[in-house]
Amino acid sequence: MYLGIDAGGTHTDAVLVEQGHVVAQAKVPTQHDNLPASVAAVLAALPCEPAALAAVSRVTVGTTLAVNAVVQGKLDPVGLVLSAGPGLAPERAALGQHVYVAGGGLDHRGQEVTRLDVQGACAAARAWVQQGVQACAVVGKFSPRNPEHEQQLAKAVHRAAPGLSLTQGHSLSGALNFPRRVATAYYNAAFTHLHTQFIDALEQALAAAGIHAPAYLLKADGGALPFALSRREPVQSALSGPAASVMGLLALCPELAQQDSLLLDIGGTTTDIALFTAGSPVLERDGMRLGGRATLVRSLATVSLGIGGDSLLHGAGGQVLVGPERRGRAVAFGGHEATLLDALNVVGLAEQGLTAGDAEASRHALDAVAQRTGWAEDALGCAKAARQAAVQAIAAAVHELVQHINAAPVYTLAALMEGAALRPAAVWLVGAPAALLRQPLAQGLGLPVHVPPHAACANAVGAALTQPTASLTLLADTGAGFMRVPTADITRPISRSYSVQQAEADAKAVLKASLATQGLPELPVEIVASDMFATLNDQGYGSKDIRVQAQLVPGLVCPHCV
Amino acid sequence: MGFAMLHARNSLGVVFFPAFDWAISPTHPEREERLLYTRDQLHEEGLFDIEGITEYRPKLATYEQIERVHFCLPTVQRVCSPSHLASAGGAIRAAQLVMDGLTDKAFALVRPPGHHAMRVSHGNRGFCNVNIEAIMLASIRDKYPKPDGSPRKIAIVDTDCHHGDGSQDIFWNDPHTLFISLHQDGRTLYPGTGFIRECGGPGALGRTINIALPPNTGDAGYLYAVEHAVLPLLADFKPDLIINSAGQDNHFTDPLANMRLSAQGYAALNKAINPDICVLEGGYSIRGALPYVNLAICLALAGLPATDIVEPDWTPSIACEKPEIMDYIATLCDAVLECYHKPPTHPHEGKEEQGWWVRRKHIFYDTDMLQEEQKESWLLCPQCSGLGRIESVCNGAPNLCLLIPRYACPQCRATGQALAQAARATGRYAQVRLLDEDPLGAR
Repeated sequence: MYLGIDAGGTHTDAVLVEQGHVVAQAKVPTQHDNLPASVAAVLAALPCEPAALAAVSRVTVGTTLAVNAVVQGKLDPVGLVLSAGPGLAPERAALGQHVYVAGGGLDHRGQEVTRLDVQGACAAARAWVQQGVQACAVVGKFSPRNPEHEQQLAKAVHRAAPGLSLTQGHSLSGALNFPRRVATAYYNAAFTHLHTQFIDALEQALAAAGIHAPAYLLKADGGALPFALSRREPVQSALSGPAASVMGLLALCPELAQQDSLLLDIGGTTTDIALFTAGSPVLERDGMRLGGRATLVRSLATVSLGIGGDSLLHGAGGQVLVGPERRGRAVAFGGHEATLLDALNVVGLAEQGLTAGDAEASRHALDAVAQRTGWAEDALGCAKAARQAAVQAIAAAVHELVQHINAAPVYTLAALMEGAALRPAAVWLVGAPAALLRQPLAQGLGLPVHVPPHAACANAVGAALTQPTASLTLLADTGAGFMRVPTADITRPISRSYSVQQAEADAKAVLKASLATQGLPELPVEIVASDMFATLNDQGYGSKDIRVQAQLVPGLVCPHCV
Repeated sequence: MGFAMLHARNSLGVVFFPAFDWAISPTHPEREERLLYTRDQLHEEGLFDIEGITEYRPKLATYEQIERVHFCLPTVQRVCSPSHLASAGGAIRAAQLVMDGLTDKAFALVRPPGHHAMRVSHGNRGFCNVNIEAIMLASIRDKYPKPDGSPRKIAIVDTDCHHGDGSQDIFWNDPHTLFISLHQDGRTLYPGTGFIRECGGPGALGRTINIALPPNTGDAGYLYAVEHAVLPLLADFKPDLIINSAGQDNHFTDPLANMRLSAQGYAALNKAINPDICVLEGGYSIRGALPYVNLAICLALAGLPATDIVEPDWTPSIACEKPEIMDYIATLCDAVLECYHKPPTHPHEGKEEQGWWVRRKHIFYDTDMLQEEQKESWLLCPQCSGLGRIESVCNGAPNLCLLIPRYACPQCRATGQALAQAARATGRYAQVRLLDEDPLGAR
């Protein structure tokens, strides 16, 4: 039996899943200042025997801890040690009040250009400790190419100030992007203390409820991360965002994985848009934003649009507009001002279609709007204009997201001639006003629109069933005679004949080995990118520069196996 | 220094296409690896995360777009591979970004280059098969005519270390394009041309400007030449659009040339010229120069400071310009201004034959080892820049290429059409080609 918990912006949901069925579910309001208490409350509210919780074999929790912490300014101060070398000044990427730039640097091949000087960093670290700083991040330019400078700096800082928690940039991602690496390491360090407390409290709450199963946190890329690993890399799981809902829909509608699909989740305030291709949700190219800075934390490619059932109708230049403002519920559900849902009700009444709540109340509200504002001659005209505005805005956002994914740069003729990859063939529409918008969205998007049966707590189901995700980058240089996986801190000698095929096999093996430590040896690890460059050094000697990226995409546990 | 400074003052589109699966040959300078470290550097610096700087992919150019400029012999398919369609397409995409107002500036960071490719192309010379700037210019002139129908004035400033002899050839008799090449003196470097006396055909004298700099010119010398020759010319010509053929072999680490420009120097140069569009040309110091120079150009185009760029091999002695070099450049700049404002009455070579200006040329394709003999003639027309006629022989029967220039007078157009018809009737030529640069005339 699997337990899924999703602490969302408004509610915290929990479900128990057994043999493909939700056997229990609960919903409580989220207490933003005390997420573990929300988890304890939702567990207490689960209508099941205490014995059932003891039989849980895996638990996954989705949270918004990071967002809350950033918004409320609860992050710990971080001492940031940067090193740079050639290129732009490292100060451009700095964050926070405590920054030290160490002498020494590497070039784009990871070769040392200037010798590292650790002395200054040690002095800075001691001073930070005096000022009450407890966390430190060490980030060097091109450290995924060669982590040696970061490692030496970390070692020296640790000796000088043993109390500082330390984050090294190369351990969080193998991707090249210094400003993002700085932000990722900075937030990792800034979250460490808070996250540790959070995990401790969560473990207590779970234990108090009689749950002793392996526990995971949901990540923004739709994957799960074991608690133990998350303690080392808190930034990876600090924010699950819409991942729970997206994975939940995948669990409830496996058909959507059969073709390129769009997911539209229309709630009260927003419409969230996600994409599926080849059976799993599409990931953002680089990583998500945290506290206004781009990071290397992988996330789903999603867009959130300020249009929902409760979005206020308003006018500009004689046109009816929808949202993004919300001032309570629709009139049909006891609100006081006409919203998109009311407009949909009015059209539904006139066309003998679907309505929701008190549709007559909606009509009165729209009548009043039409009379007061003169946007349209009557309630129906006003309602149709509002519906059209909502559909147009959603269609534009969908178009933009698909374009964004398809505009991903390509660097080979083969890929350029292949052309754009993603072409959604169907739309899956969920959320309260979904049924009322099916027809106009099908027209507006020119695609078939499916509305799956409403499932409460789909987000928690998604959390319950989601599998871990993982990725790594392997670099090999046959001239220098080594291969390296920076995030796994692996460097091994290789022969001059080391090939792309060997690199791909090694990348898969390293990724599988790391998954095996999580008790998951047989998941479909794939190679996403594989490049081999014949290189010539200044003396004209040839060697090979190999770069391989392997990943495990978001996926679900077979629900019937649980 | 806060992160807030990383907001581009000019929005910039970078059409980046390193063609990681194409090389002239595995050990050729123009090989897969050429932009690999540029890619690494730009990504590591987070260039495309800077607000206002966006990466774009190219669209493949069509053969039709290539043939708006070139006479490709024997066929466009033989001369032009998909890699050339991609780099020409990248340049066209960059122009579209600017012309459509999507970005303020654009940089076609693409390979292979094009500025040694001439009007008639039989193959590869100086690593170039087709001229990507010229193809881009033709697409601009075709797709974005000025509303009043007047000619769009475009200036190309070619800062590649080698003389842009292909661009010079294509714009030789075009009075609406000011072509300025700043390069290492042809007496010391391939292709051995680009002297001040080469200043345009009979219809465009003073519209080709060659600034042949002495070997070892560095940042100060380049900047002096830009400020005292290039900028005054641009101020007088008042172009609607400025394009920089941004070759990077003038860098102090380049293995094929002998100049001493730095990345910061290139940024200063770019800032002074203030081009709307940059197109990468040569540059083969792929580890020591390109990663930093491309970064510098991107920042300069975006209106951001580049003065903190550190280069691994740079030493203060590189920046130390010899006084005799500065003196030479100062004299040169005066001669350049004279050449633009008071061009000679006749082109520097050739002679008048029955109303045509005729010169004979020998062209060597160093990469493909081809020898071409040309007889180039321009009709001396009082109404327009004049019909062009090129007889080209390269391994076989002669070809005849007739060029009706954009804004040709009706007389020149009619003559061109009649000459083509007559030439086809003689059976003397392997091929007779007629290119009407006017998009309406072409139909």
